[in-house]
Amino acid sequence: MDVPATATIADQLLKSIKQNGIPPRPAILERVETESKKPEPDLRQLAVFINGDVGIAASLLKTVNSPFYGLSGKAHTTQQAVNQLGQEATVNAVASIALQRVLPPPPQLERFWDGSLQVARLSGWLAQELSSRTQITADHAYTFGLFRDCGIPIMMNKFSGYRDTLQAANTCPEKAFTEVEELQHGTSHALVGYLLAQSWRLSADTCLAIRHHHDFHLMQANSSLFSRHTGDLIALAQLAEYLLQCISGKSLTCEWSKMGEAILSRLKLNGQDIQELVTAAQDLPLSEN
Amino acid sequence: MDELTGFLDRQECILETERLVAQAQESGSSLHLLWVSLNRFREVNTSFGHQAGDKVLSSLARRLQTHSSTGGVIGRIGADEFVVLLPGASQARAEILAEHIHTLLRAPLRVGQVNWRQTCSIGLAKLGNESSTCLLERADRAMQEAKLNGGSQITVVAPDPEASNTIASQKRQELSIEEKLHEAMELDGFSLHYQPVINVANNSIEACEALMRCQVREQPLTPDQFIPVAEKTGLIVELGDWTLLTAAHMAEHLMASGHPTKVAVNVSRAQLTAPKFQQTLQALFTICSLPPALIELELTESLFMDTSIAVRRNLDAAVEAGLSLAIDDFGTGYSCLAYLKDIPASKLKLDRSFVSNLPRDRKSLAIIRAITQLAQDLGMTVVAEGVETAGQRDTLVDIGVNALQGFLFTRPLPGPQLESWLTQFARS
Repeated sequence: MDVPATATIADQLLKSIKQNGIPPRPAILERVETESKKPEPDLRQLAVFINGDVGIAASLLKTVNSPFYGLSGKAHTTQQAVNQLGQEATVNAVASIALQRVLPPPPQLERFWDGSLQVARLSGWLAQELSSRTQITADHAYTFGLFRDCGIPIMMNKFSGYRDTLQAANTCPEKAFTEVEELQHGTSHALVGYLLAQSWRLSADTCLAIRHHHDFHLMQANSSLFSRHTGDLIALAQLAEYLLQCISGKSLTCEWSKMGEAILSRLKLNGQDIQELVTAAQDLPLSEN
Repeated sequence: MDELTGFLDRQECILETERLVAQAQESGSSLHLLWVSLNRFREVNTSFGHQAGDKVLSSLARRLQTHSSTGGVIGRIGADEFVVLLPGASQARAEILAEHIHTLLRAPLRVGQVNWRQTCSIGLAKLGNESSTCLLERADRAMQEAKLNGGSQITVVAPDPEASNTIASQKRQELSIEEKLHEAMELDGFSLHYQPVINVANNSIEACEALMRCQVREQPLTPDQFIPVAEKTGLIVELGDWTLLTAAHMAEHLMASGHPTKVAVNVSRAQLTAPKFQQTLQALFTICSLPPALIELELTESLFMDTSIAVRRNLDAAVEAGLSLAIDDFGTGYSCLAYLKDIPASKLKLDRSFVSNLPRDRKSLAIIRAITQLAQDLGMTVVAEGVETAGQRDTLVDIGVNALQGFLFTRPLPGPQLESWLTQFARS
């Protein structure tokens, strides 16, 4: 199969973002997904597609070999990585890598992806640590952690006053984060991210978790609106964000005060458990490039 | 366990019914099942928010629990539906209990600034020589019958072994479709095909209607099969969002490739009453660089007759945002003419059943002529669907219908084929 060179794909995507505002599903992701959803997917073919894009192949090895993915052995080649991950997790990994590449952070938020990446890594680690309490795999938690806020750069590009809205939403103690955005712009990064994830054909649980990740009322009520997986994904990423705040000593959001209690009860954790998780997470290489 | 109410959840309800049915059949004792559905409960969610909705639900659950659980088992079988299983109870006692539930749920409940009186429809079925699935299905049907009879009613059904077999097989089929739907969502089994609508006056493209297709492991499912199941299970909302998004991408693509064309999307009641419909539309236009005028929402006429505040508010907001509305399949439902003057639709699509008998059927002809005249006087564009022959086309053009859609021009086409078709059409 004819695979375009890396530069060509990236150029096409960037051109498309500039013209249309939304990054379309990258061609490599489309190929990998199509193959993985065949009744009998060919893992060798998956590796061939990924190797067609040197940048993605290199990032894949780096991502899956990090402790946050929880693989048992080290992968030295793309084929080994794909074999160890299986088709579903391979798709998740490629989507996560492609997302950071096609959605450049807006100038006002240069460190946007660094923050998301830390939440993603810590979510992956938490999924392993709390495996007896949730059925979320590390790759699933990692992907959600990275995609959770992908609507923010899009909103930032679209609405000129969005930076102020972000500030207001982050510090509003009563309203849901998304409610503040909706009052100002008629929509929210959660809904925008949900549609982006849908158009990239991520799993239904991931899409719904992106849509509802600030709906603290639903989390508090343990709403039947979303499945157990969806609620658990939201809880893991929110806990990851809280742990990061504990480690850094900086608290830029009010989300934990709105959702913390519901999350602790959902994951059956107490204050002592959280303290232990904070201590363990301090030693993790979260900021490594 | 259902965490909001503390009752059995759907899966546990099914298992418990199975267990009690087996037990009753083994011991020869009786078993009654009440299926309780809260009427218009969605309105609490849409008007007061989900948090209020969940509070109301747990208050109602507490009433059910306190007053009706003597010897019975209660489960939450749907978002706003409960079952009460009554092993060993007599028919008379089951009926009294149904009445009792009916009354106690109606007691006023404070929601926001108003006193909400929750009515319910109840189906009561006695176990016959049947499976647990049949018993559940019969109680569900009895409840639906109670709803059709005006709601706030109790309908009692006697065991019907013959009907039970049919119902069981229908239920099995429904479950199998539900399973395939989930599979289709996981495996990208959904796609959109597009059928052009031709404007008669200038032989241009009036719009392209997006039609959903579903295929699972090379087995197609028809919309008639999967849409009702998607509506019943709530999957229709996510599917609807996906359809809007995919259609908007198509409109964007057509615009970029030199065929700026309106794309029409069918919208269901479930979507229009789901939370955040307006915000989702706004999100759609945040991520797509597309003039809203290039998206048209097609709605069946029953939606226009819907008096719920959420539906009207969302339709008005869509029009205000620049989208257009079309009434689909006009003539098959109640076809109430009064609402034509109030609703913000700019297009009326005549149902294909009128077109199929043209040009011979004089009655169809008279109906089409009258509706066309009326709709055009109201400033609406009239489209005839299901045009298959040149004779039908000529007759419709003579009557003055504005636009035509059907196999005579083309079958619904996948995206890439539509683009070639449009290029060819533009040349001709």
